[in-house]
Amino acid sequence: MTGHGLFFLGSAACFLAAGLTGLLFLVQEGRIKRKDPRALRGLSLPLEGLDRLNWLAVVAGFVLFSFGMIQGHRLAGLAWGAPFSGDPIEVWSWITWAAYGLVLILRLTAGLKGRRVVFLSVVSFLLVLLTIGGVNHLAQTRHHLF
Amino acid sequence: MEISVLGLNHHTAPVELREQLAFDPNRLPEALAMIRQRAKVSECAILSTCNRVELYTVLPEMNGQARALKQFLARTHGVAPEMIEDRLYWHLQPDSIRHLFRVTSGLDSMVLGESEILGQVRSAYAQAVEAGAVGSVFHRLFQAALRTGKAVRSQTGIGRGAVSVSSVAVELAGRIFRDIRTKRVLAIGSGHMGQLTVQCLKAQGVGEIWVTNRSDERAQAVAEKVAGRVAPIDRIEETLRETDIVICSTAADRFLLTVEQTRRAMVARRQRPLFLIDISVPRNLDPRIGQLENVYLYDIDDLEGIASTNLQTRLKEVETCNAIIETQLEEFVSRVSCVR
Repeated sequence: MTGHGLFFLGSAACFLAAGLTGLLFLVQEGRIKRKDPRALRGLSLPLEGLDRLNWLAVVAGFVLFSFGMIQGHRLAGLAWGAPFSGDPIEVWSWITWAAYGLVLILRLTAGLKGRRVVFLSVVSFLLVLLTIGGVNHLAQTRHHLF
Repeated sequence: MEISVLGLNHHTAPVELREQLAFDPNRLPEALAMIRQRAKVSECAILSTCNRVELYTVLPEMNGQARALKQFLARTHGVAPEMIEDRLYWHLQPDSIRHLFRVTSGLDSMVLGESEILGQVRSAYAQAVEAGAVGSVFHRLFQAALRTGKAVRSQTGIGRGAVSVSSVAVELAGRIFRDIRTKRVLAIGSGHMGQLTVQCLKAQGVGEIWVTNRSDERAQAVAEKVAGRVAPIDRIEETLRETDIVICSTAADRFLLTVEQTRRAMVARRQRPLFLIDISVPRNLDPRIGQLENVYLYDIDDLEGIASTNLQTRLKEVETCNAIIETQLEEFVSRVSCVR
């Protein structure tokens, strides 16, 4: 596997972790907010812990994804003669990158924490799934050549 | 040989009487020696907690020991025996064994399923062993009781879920914050329930406690009690910026904290979670505060509602607990019969 592939695989794992911790956060936060007694049942990390893990996973995933994008455009330049060819995978990768970038910006500059920003990280993970699953199968792409 | 128990508990006697009849832990060896001498029992143990005083004995033969034990219990504490006659229960086996198993399992506790009693029974057993009041029967009995207590807790949900207002609040704090030791608590007012909750959080190792009150003297008094410091009442909003948990328990007839104040404080806090507990009636924290993001507001009804739901869940487990106890009881009785 190329460095490009490894970076994307690593970032996908991090985004999966962010998505899962995000989902757990949303469920548990919803229960605490609604005063549902189930909030106190079973084992669960505290909201702050889930929020922190979600944040760390997004940061790690974003860094790896960015390296993967740089490497990908370099390889595209070598293979297809241009770093950006408008391939659906490239387009959706940029959309995903922007979504996670937004999560980072909101957290870092607006100081956003909790439900909204965690929800955004879960939605962003759906974009990852769409990029690596949906677009690869549904759209015309040259990426399956790799 | 007969295993017996004589005692009183929170079901049969008021706290004043229980306090009066409680044994001083330092004088237990002496009391155990006196029981053996006066009531002619071969083995004995005393379980003395805030909710019960019980004398467990092995009677080589039935010879009026019940009366002797009642007199011992009353006279040791300077009470006339007839004063406690109606408050006492006296069980012989298998009821006495069943009773101990139920006590150890927390089924006879004031707070159903509480686990502190397991340690108290273990301690009563250890003290009796140390005083030389335990023989082969009680070694088997207490070990079986402790085993039963553990089995009931591990195999059922009898101890799950907080069942008091303060413990629900503490558990919720644990579900919101990563490390409670780094958190700061603000106690508004000096209501009893509020102080109890602050004490519970303190026992969990909460970082720092601030106390605020309309009366500086009362704030100072509460702060001293909980090893906290006083915060000015007119600067609640500023204090809120640096606080993670707020416990409000006052008799004020207006909101002491509004949505706007909390919203501004949340911006200053960079949206770090804020847990607010309003135990006051009427409520002193605007209920709309709970709609703000990253703010978790619970009032007394919310906390009591969760405690009550958890208690119902525990009550449903009682039947399963009794089944475990009966199995352990049969096993114990058959073993002791074999040895005999």
